[in-house]
Amino acid sequence: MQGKDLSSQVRAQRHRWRLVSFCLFLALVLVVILALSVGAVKLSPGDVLGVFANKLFGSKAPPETARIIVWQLRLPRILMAAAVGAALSSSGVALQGLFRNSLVDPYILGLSSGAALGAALGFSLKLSGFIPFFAFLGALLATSIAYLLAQEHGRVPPMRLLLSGVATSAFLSALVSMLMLRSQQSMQTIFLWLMGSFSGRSWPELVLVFPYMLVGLLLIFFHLRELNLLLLGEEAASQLGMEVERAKRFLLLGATLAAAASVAGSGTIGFVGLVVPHLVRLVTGSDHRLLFPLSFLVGALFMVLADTLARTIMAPVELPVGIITSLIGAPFFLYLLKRGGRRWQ
Amino acid sequence: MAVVFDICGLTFTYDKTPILEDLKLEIEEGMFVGIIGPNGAGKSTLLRLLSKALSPQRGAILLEKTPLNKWSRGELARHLAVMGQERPQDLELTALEVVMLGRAPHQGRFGGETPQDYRVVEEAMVLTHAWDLALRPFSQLSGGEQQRVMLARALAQEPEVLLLDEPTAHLDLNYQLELLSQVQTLVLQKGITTIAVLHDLNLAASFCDKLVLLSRRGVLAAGLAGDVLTTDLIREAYGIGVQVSTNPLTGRPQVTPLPQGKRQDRFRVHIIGGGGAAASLYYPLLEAGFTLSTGVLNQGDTDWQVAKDLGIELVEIPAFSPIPEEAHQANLALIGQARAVVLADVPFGPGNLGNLKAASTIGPGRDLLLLRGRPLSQRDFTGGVATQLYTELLARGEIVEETDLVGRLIELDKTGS
Repeated sequence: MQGKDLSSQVRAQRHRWRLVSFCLFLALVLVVILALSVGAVKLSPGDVLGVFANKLFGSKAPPETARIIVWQLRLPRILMAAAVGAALSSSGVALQGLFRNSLVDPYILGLSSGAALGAALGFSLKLSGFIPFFAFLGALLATSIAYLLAQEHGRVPPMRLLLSGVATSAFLSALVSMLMLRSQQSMQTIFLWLMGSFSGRSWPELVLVFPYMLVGLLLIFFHLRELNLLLLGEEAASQLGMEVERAKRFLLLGATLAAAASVAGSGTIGFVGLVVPHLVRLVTGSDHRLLFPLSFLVGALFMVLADTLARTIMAPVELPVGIITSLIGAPFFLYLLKRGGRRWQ
Repeated sequence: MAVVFDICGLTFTYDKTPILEDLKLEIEEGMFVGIIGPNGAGKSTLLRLLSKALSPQRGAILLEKTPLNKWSRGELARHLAVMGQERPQDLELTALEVVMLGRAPHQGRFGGETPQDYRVVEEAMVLTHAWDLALRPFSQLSGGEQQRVMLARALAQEPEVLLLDEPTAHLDLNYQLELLSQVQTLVLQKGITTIAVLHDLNLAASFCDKLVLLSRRGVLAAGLAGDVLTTDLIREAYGIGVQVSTNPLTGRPQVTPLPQGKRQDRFRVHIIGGGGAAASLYYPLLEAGFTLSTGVLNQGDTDWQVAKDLGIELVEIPAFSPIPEEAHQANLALIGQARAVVLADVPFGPGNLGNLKAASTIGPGRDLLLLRGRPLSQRDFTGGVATQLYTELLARGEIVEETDLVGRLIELDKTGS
């Protein structure tokens, strides 16, 4: 019946997904252009494109204010948002696959509390310039502790890792609370930082975090096949020829690097790493070769939109972007769950 | 025949609890081998050791003459496929995608599925009757359908050895039969050596070429079903009494577990039967706790068959032959050991008159129970000799209804002790 044309059917399906990815990419470019034009000073998309044309092809110079607003103020911030959205979502894909649990997010292994502790330490030592660095180290340290605690006979059973992550997280959170109480005046700063924001991000910061994200994402990208095999369970995956513990280490390292770099770049923005992979999976199914690139794109798109909203809806006051992601993300997520939008229905 | 698995001195300990000890086993090529045994005998552990999911503390497992730990995971996955007990949950993949995962050992890190992959997957799914399910979501399939898909996934690895861990668990009877006959077909057509852990002894007996009975950390018996499934071996492994008969349709052994009430130890009873008259007496008496013997019975007689199946001590002679002196003496010896003798509603002819004579040798202090049945005139084919003997016996014994027999013997057992 389905007979011989099944593989061509599958090929057509794959073609369709490639088309979807391309459309998402176009949408991302459009949203970025839109985001570049809105704000305290409104620019037309034409002005925005003019700046790019000048930068890239040396066409006639745009007004200096437009150039500064687009190139110096908005573009690095928007690119940071895109990068963080993509990195958090991809990290979520890797960890949800690793734990075979779609309720896992990049912060599950104590990464956010570790970052928060690092940042809080930085604030209380009055080293504000080094906050991203402290946060990055704290995040890596927390995940390493959780990983080492979970080891048993050279293996790391997912359930143990999850539990040791939760415990590490709780412990570090308590330390953060203590630090916050000790220095009342920096409490609000830390609190705002925890909510996450892209406010004032510039090129140097982007250049600083980007390599770590890239390495993290590449590590995940090289293990998409393993993530698919893990769907069958660790034992079955190893019986299909996979070196399970090694792949898990790489995936964990990749996810942690990407998420830690994101946190260093923007604070702990919640919900994206949980919702985006989950949402995309409802549409694509569990094949990580689809899930990863689409989550990457959707995450970037979602974060740029959220950040644009965060800086415009209550202008001139800027909202922490974490509030927006949760305010939009949570109800939308619930709606999707209720609808149960699976591709085959 | 070439040996696929050569297992020697295999010892596996889990948290200081020995699971398998010094196990020795050979698996021959192209066989469908069933591993049976009680819970905790280490069946699944053995299978996981064979698939390198566990490594033994001691001993060697040779796969194709090469130690298992010399096989890389990749090589092993191209040679040996496993269908475990675990069924993936929360999986948003179609059946086809699940089966395609079985091609992983043959694929590179990148680059998608080749036409060859599709051919293999299709063949595997057609073989297991899962092709119609190809585009359905795996999570929405029934248990039996999921199991067919998982079997196809294992086949997609193009293995030479297939390990199945309780492939029929949680399946309805029709799916159990379907799955096992599919496996049987694979073994026959493709020559895939298959080792399956099975729970159901009768299914194992009817589908497998060889059985391995595990018990107390080692192999209790291995070989043809008829050699492995015996009352004694099953009692030793499972600690229960069973009746082993031959399935008249397949010729394979058939195991019927007997109810396991707590048995009292009661005295010895000898039953004189023949012609099917005693067949229905044996089991209730055994169940009530009596130790039984019976004789002299002709081979092929219904009484003989049932007594054999129940493992009752008996004196047997070839069909249609008269009772030779030797058998008669053996019968007398059994009667001598018994505390009571029961004479069933047996027809008597010149051939088995000896049984009636034997009954009359019962000594003092022993009880003789005569079952009420057809009048002797209807079952005396000796021209009156049997009737005369029977009348003499009436003076020594008492007449009992068949329905009262167990009760009466229990009474005697109580008063006697």
